[in-house]
Amino acid sequence: MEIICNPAGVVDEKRPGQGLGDITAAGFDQVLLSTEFCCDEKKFKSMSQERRIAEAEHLIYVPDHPEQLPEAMKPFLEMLRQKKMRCDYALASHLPRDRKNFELNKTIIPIVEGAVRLAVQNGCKGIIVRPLYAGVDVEEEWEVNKPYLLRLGEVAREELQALEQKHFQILIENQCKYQEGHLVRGILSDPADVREWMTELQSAFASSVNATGAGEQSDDEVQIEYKLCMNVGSLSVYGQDIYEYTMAVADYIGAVIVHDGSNAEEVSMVPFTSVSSTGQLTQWIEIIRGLRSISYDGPLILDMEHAAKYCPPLLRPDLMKFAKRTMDYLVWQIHMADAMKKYDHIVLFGAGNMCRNYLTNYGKEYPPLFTCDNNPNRWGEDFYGLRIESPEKLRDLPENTGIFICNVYYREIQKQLEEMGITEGVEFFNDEYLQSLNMERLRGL
Amino acid sequence: MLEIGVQTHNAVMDENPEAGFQMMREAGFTCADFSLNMYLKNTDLYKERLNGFFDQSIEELEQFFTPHKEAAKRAGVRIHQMHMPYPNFIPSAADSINDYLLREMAPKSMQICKFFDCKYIVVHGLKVKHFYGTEEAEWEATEKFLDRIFPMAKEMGITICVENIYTSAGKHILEGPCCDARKMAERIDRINEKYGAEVLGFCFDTGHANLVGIDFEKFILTLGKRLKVLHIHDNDGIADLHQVPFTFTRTRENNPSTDWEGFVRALRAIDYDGVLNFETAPVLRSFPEGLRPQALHMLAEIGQYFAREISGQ
Repeated sequence: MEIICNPAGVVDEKRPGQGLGDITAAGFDQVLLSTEFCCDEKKFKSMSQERRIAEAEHLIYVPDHPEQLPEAMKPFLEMLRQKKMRCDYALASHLPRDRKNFELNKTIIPIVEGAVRLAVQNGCKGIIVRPLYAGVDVEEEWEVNKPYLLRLGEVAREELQALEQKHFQILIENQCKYQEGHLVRGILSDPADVREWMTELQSAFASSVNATGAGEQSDDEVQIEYKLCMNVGSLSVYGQDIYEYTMAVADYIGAVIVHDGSNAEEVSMVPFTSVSSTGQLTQWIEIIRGLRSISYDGPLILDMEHAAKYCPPLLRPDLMKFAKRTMDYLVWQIHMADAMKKYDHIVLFGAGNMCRNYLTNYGKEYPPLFTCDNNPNRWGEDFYGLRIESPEKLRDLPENTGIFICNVYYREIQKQLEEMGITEGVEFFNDEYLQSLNMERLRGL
Repeated sequence: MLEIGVQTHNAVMDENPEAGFQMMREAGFTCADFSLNMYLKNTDLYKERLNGFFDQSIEELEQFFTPHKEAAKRAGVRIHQMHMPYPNFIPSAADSINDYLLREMAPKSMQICKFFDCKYIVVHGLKVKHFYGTEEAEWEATEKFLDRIFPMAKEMGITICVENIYTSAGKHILEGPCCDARKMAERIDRINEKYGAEVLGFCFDTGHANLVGIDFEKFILTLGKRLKVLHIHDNDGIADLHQVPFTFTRTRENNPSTDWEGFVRALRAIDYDGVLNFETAPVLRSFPEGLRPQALHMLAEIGQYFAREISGQ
């Protein structure tokens, strides 16, 4: 799974080097090629003021000069090359959510088309775009967006042909909608719409290619694919059931954007950091369960714009490292079974709820030889069909056996194992984001 | 014109139901949503406390509610819908509690509904997705519960209505049971066909829908004629406040942050012919006693406004 950092909030338009340096130092090797670098939504908020600022600072005001987008992106791209960072995916600029003026779409469309060209020219596999929503009534969403999205596909196809590349994805992001200050379900929040839009776009694009005499899309032809970019933050802000959504759109997901946030406004924070006094505000269990259930292995994009933007600059490198560690953790959670696949044999350490949850979820596919516990009174006990042994038994294990710690005192147990001279094959198991955890706990009450 | 209704909670008191129903009638309501749920409160149920109310025989319960029934009739208020106590299943509770809810509370609620000559009873779906893993499994559990009372519904000519409800995580309100209009439409059709009667319908709760960002118009249009009753109330999109419609704004322009226009358009489009029922009991507590009749009157006025807009008059 590719972990990608959205540079928003980290990388500055005037001096991109420091932000990209922080991202690289944190261990990310990929960023989004984001045209928000020079044309973020702020540029559309007070346009006359932004125009003046750009002029004073000798920057290109892209909404007035979309043709100069490549020039405006140059500092970012040059710095990427210097830092040897990959950008397999791009992100196109978009309008603020609260814009109601349909005419504004005329301003964003050439910028997004420019972003598509730039993405293809820089070897990206795909670009994330938002549908048009400014001043678009619900019943017109498809009619307005269909030609727009097909046109983006056509722009990509033209560029690909010129560069002799073969494949590109238009990743359309699900939206929340601004309803007089309240964020509610927007375009592609209904899984049925996702299925219909993607299928229809794919088919209409193929037809349009045929109609222009370019021939059917085949293996040796340019392939344009329409996929969903699932932004979990946009689903979470109004409380949609993300597990159910993920399952319903599984076949159409091309990329996933993760961030934590609030339940009242769009805020991008590092996953697991938005909490109330009673728990996490984002349903991470539903997100992880969903992505695990569909064996998601595509790009996982971190958006932490606001967390980074409002973090003291001197602390930002540490925040970025934490963010990278969090993304690695998410990948580990989603692909938890990968650790089990590495071993010929498995033993567990711990004989409580977590051990039981291992057995419930993975016991059949990856049956452990035994579990162990530090409590001598439990040695020899049968625990859900598994014998509890002394940790001493871990000294004499068959070749290529993984020891999975099934207890939240991970570090203490890891230290105990180290003191026993066991450092190889020690793995962590975690049941916080497992499907049956809660019912299992109830049964255990 | 559509009739206007309001829930009885905080308006009708057991010691003098006459006064409450009269106040409702004078404010302009001709229908009531009888708050049966207040006789076995959710706050008690979550603490596994059963107050014994539903231990009474149906004869005793009918006797208890006779003053209410007669008072409503004298006031010219029709009990159009009622609310069954909830939750009707508590995952962490002892089996005896859940058995009681299934075998005593639910059937007796149906009998009380019949006693009031009430056509609709609103029931919450079971909130067990957190435990069972999927929405489908959660609905299966709800359907299993409802299967126990569908035969009674058929026999009594009552339509059980499930409503869109929510759950929460860390003070964040999340989509809960019955929030997928397409699935609910399919389920309602399937079950009614199975029973050969309209035993299941839908109660659209505007406040709950607003909390989880549901598009009112799309949801109602998908339900169509399966929509039987309403819980109309408003909130700030963050907490379930059960307040007066048009109360909340979140921008400097002060436009309502709840999509009341979409609500009206959709009801007009499906030719809704039910009651415009307000579930706004907190309004009667938040306003001082001296202003409660006026507060009720304002709700009725809003109902009449909706009725005019929906009918195009």
